[in-house]
Amino acid sequence: MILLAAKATALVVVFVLSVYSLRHFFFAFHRLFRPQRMNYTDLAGFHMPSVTVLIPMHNEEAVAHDVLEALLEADYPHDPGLLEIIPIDDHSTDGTGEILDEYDARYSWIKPLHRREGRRGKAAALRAATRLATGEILIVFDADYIPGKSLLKFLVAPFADPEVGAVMGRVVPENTGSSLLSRLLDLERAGGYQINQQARNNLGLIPQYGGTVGGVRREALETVGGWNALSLTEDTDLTLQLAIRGWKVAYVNRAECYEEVPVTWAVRRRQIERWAIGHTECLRRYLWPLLRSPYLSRKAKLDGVLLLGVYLTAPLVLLGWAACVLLFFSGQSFLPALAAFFLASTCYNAVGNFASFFEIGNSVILDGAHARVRLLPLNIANFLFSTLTVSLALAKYYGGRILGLRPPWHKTERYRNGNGNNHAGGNGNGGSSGNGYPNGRGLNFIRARSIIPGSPAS
Amino acid sequence: MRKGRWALRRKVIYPHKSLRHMPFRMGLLAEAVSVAAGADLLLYWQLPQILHWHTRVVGFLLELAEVPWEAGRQITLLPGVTAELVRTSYLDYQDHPLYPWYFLGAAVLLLAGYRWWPAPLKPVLLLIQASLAVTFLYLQLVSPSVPYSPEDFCAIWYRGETYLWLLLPLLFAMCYFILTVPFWMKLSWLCLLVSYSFLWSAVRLALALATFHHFGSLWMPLFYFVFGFLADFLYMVAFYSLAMDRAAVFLGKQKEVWQ
Repeated sequence: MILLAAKATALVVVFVLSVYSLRHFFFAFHRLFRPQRMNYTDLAGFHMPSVTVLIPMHNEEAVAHDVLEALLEADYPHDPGLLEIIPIDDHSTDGTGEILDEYDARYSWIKPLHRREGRRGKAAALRAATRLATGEILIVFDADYIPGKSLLKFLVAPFADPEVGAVMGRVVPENTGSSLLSRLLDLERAGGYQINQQARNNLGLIPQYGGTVGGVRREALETVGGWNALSLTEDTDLTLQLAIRGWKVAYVNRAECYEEVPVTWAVRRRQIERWAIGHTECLRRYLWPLLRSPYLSRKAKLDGVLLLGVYLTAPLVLLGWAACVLLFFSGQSFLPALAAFFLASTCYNAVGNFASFFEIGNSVILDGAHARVRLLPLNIANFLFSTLTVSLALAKYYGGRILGLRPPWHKTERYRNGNGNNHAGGNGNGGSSGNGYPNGRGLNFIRARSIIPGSPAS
Repeated sequence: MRKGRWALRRKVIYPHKSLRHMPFRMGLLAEAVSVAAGADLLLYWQLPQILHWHTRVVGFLLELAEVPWEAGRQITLLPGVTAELVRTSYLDYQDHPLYPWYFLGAAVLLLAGYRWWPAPLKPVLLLIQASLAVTFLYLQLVSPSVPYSPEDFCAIWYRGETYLWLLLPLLFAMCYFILTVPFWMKLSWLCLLVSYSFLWSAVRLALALATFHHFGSLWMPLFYFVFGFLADFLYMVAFYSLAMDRAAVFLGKQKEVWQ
């Protein structure tokens, strides 16, 4: 009986992982060979609605200057009726508040919001800032992001289509040389955005609004009741709510924005723990509404279910391995299933939004890069790390639910400008303490890279 | 109002010719399928010789490792494809009862240093320790030996590798032959991958049998799970990444000046 259950478990796991593997291959082939949706990019600079940029910040003095300076250089009209920036000082204990006040004094269209009371966290901060925002479109950036000059124009262009509720841009890591992990995450992002998100967009599925480098139409946000302050992943929450109510989420591959990816495995662990729990909460909350939505096609629903269930594959992989071990020791090597299982699980090679090896390889070619693809086999470390981390996080989450505990919100640490431990306050803007992974590549580094001979900037 | 194909609102906008250069071509998918089918046919035809050669290499490596071996039974892997197994022996833990404890002690010592291991290696090292610990418990509590003889292990290995060899050309061709790089370049990488696969399989099998002979069956699940199919997939991805790197360099040189 136990052996039969083990065989059945192994086969179910093989089936689920094979579905995810095929999904990755399908996306990649579709991205490579089928026509691309141009995504309203021709409208960039022609459709310019009023925009409010929201930047939630909690102890972000190491990076606050960069994002604000980059936005000051944006080529969106600096007319208070068209552009408004609300940086949100969310219970900061470092110098973030003073930095924001400094910008407030110099620019009338930068209107900081200082939060000292109420629930902490990104979704709560966004909820408070949205009440003050006057723009028709709300664009959100995390504090460690550095938007390019034309990014706002590309992000708002799809809103010319009244069916579009949210828009997502492409995230490009700027600190890839900081550690092995940041290099691996660079590969992950490339595959995830260049292939996965673009293919979903082409197929009319549900591209994910990622909570940063993206915008949402205020009207759409209001129809879904605003940002969900109880969610650990307010971005996935919003994506699902919009899709269920018939709003389109568009992805603009051309709208690239630089970010700082985690440099240490400890930071990465906390990040994916939060994603895994937030995603799984969304699965619990929106699975049935998604399946019943009259606005979504069958293929979009299927993609939505697979998207929501993606973090459950981690404990499934462990369960499959346990079943295989049991079969092995009972003298039934169960070879075809085992072989298929290992091929499928490794081929899938992914937990969360991590792309499979094939997507990554192709994205590197499409991006015109080459050397970094040689790191691809090392992704096995990321795969095993994510599998264990996500499984433990979900176990902790379900244990906490039984005890009635709420999962905590962990802020991702920043490394830019010498800030290596995220206490930020000690180092000002050029400190050097930390844990050995300084990232000196701020706005100036991006500027230096983007100067083209003959352009006004040079 | 026009509908369907001639509707005013187009589903897609075909890019300007300056944007049409793509390093991937759909037509090459047919080439990929043809090459994979051809390679599989060739492999199937040559499998008996390949397996014979494989056994000879394993035997040679076992002699180098001073492991006595003899030809074992013949098994049928596929219709018309048989392989001769290698028969070796385990270290008998009844004669050396302390050996499993030594390995368990080493694993526990490694676990004590878990905090200082490089983070990306932690899960891999943990897999090795978990495999040793589970097998140790099995040997202590359930049975004094694992349910497979080295010859059985050899049979399992040959079966798995044979299926994998037939799958490799399909996986690699579908992933790589769709690129607009010269055919000889793609074929060279495929041949290199398949040849490496034969050789690496023989080396790993010999290593596994030698380990069982010198250190006992405690190590069998490790070779089965971690250094088996998982390792196979790793080198496939490694070859793919190197091939993609070379292809990207080639494609970079082909770019037109205006780009």
